[in-house]
Amino acid sequence: MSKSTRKLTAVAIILVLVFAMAGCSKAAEAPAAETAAKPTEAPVEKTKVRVTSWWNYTDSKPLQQLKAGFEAKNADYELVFEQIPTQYADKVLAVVAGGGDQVPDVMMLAMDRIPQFAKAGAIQPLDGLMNEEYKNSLYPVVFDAVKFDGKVYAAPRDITSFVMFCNKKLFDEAKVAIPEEGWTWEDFLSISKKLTKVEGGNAVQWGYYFPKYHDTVFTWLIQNGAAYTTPDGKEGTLSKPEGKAALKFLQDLVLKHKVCPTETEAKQFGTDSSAAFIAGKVAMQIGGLSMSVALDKNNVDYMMVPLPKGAKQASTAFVNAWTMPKGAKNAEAAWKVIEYFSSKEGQQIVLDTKMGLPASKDVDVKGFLQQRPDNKSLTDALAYSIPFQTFENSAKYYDLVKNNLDLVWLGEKSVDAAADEIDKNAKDVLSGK
Amino acid sequence: MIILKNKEKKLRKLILYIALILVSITMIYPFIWAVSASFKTIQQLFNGNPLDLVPDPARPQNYSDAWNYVPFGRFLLNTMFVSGFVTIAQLIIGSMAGYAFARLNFRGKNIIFMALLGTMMVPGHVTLIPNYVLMRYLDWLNKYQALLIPPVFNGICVTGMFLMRQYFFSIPKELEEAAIIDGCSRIKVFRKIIIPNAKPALATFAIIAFNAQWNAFLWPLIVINDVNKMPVQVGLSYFRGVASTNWGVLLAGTTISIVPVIIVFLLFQKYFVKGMLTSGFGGK
Amino acid sequence: MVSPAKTYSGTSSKTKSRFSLARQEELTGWLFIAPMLIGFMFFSFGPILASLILAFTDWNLLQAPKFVGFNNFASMLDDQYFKQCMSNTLYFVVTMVPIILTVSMGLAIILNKDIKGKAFFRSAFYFPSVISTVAISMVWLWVFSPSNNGLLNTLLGKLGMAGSVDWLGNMGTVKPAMVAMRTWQSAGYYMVIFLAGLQTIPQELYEVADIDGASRWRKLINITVPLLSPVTFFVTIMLMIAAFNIFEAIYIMTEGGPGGATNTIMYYIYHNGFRLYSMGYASALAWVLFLILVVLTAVQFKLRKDEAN
Repeated sequence: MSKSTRKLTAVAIILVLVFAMAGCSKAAEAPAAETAAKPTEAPVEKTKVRVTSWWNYTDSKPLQQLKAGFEAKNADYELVFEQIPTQYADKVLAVVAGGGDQVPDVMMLAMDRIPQFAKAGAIQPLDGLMNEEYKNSLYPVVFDAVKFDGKVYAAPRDITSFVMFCNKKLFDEAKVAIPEEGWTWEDFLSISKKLTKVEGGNAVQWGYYFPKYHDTVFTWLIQNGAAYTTPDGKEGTLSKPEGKAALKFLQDLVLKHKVCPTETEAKQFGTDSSAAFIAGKVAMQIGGLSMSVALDKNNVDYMMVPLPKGAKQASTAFVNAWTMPKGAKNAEAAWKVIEYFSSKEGQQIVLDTKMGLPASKDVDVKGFLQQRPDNKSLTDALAYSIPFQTFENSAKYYDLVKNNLDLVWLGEKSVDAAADEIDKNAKDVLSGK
Repeated sequence: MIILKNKEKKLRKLILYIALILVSITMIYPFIWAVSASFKTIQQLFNGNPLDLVPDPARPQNYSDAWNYVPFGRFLLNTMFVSGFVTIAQLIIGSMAGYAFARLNFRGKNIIFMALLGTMMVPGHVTLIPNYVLMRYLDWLNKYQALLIPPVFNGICVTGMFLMRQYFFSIPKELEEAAIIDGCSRIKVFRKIIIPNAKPALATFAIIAFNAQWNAFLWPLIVINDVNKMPVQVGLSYFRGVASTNWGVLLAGTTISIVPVIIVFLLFQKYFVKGMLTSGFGGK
Repeated sequence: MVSPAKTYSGTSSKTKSRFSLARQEELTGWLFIAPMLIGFMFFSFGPILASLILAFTDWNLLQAPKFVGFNNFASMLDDQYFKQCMSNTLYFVVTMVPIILTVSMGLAIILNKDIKGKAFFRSAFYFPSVISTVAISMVWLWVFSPSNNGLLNTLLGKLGMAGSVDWLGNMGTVKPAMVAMRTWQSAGYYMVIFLAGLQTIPQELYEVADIDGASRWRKLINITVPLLSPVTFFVTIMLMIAAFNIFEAIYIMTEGGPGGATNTIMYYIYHNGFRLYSMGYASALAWVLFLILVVLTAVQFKLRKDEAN
């Protein structure tokens, strides 16, 4: 063997051995973690039910507890969790469209995609499987979110309401009091300004950050009495004065008052939307209960307060749900799982692991409220929350919105021009042309 | 006059060397800096001086964090397996075709050759969607077959085939003719004479092919969802979307994905560069 | 004199053996190209044709494809994002091709001289092109980081240029930043190609020019550059194709933003195909891109032919 061939072989063998060891141990960990809940080997062949979500099972307490709880009640079933970590809705749609073995039995889905998937026949209606008692136990706002064309297409996983997270350390440093219920947009603006620090011409701390998610923008819109579209989802209403005023307020936060970092400025602290807050560079951020999980993990000292009041007090309700995809191999088993996940017990688990508020009225929130006094802000917000607007053609509509609003936040397009442009095209896009 | 000219020459050479060293630093520095950042704590990353190449305190846990958060070992294993397979397949298929175009005569030879070369002009995205649909049809989505079979037939295969063909032209015809007269079939000639004599070209082909597969991103991105099947580039991008906590860990993961390539590059530098020099041809 | 029959083994008459030899060669030829040809039929030629057909349909993967004639192409004319990505892509072509060409040719010419440590420099310059774009994008995200932790901003600060520029967050700076990154990444690769070309230039030409007292600049303009023209032509086409193909860096670093400033055709095709699932429109876009490339390449070939005449 020539010298270089020997070198090559040696390198190759070493590398393969190293990675084989690492690879095998890691791949083995996943099934080991899943069987950890069941210490004894069941002699009976279990029915496997595949559940897809955007959560990582090994990191996800709610998934682990849901699995344990379900399997305790249904010993002949085994839950297998799969994750699609990024661009979930697009990828899972392709999986369902692909048909065959890849289609899971149960699929997590955010409310904004339910109409699109239902229209395309990618998920199955669940009306026939739900009983009246179950339907009555849900909050009405939740029920509306999972319906399409009069039929129920999903069972709620939880409901999220938005509150304002305040970074206590930064507030204390600046000697600003944590705001209380009833504070207004003006109060919010002045507090943001006080909490923004500039050194040497560069901002080193910002008062407020909003990752430009559509539901966050929606929150500010509804507070001003505006909305993306008319209630029937057919025509755009962003160009109404209330809509424009809300967008202008947000744009000013970024460009005029400079209390808000740009996306790249915030992302340098990490790619998670709460990274800047965790890094102590942002004093306030709107979020739901699940944001507190990351904050707790990083030992951030925070307080949750109700949102500041605009023309009226309002918050967005966002529902995440469980669905049964078209082509699910085992519909009966799938429904069993979905029913459990969205039952009182399943939702209690979700609440206890802080992924979201329960969608069912029957769930006991006393323990939750006792955990932290400011958890009350979350449950109170439900009373004035409005569900996030969803449409059949959500993807294309919000694409249109994003393309225009991106330019607004950059200062390259005026709010008037952007809102008018969105509404001009909204009718066609929403109707699917 | 001559002395002055010598001084001028020396000065020129000095400036040249300085320029070359500056360029070299520009090329290598970002990597060194990234590796150094991968050992830093969050504190030092955000509040410290980025030009400080020595992390203080050093945090090697960034690497174990990265390794544990996503299965990098698995990613690297997948990539080695897929790249090895595709490279060998391309070597075999490409050199066979290259030989046919170099030495054999058959109907349609020129048309087929031009057609194959022509595929290099077609942007990858043209075939992306139909190939994706084909994977769906064959039920190869999210399975290894999708990573192993379609990527064999790409621009690198054509480049390699072209490379081999050029090289085969340079092998003296007499060698083959003698063997044929002695009764060897073409296949035997190929195996026993051509291939052993084409090692440098094969080495270059192998390096180009392996490198291209190692860096493959878009195709695996759309056909693979299962974390355990992801090759390293997709794994790295997934890692970025998931492990968002800090840049130290992210850069540690990035470094992990680069290290094998660096090792191979350092060991086989001459094949990378020389191969390009002798063929005067490349394909990316 | 050896009878012809004896020179071929296992054959009987002259005519029969000559015929079967040619036939044999033909069959062998087909056999040898078979694997490549069959594979390309399935995964290259076939899909190219399929994508042409798809370009005339409207298909969202879930429901059956609908034939819509030239609608997709007509929509393109109205599509402001199409215009945007054409202009962005054009920017990249117009900047990257000349810049990278000049830089890589320059580096090659410098390195072609008699220098100690030539091999080291060559490898160092070539090194970035070996690393995957994904990994490089991660590193450069950090290089371009706004405020003071970004490498570039810190270096500029040290050189006395004030301020922290948000390279990737500003519509005005993001494209030049991407061009700089791509130049850094691929100059070494094309440099090596130029080095190969330089080696084909006979030394005697330079010696003659030296005797004539030509300056270095003259030698460059009158000998080096013209004799490199086949390589330059080849590299120009490669660079053009590469500029049209930019995708990975944009996917990782800017996602087409900010405000659509780095929305290139490739990214737009991906967005339409794998985010909005408009397979028909995405295929139509891909074919338009292909046709533009063919036209540009043909123009290049024609220019070269005219130049030669």
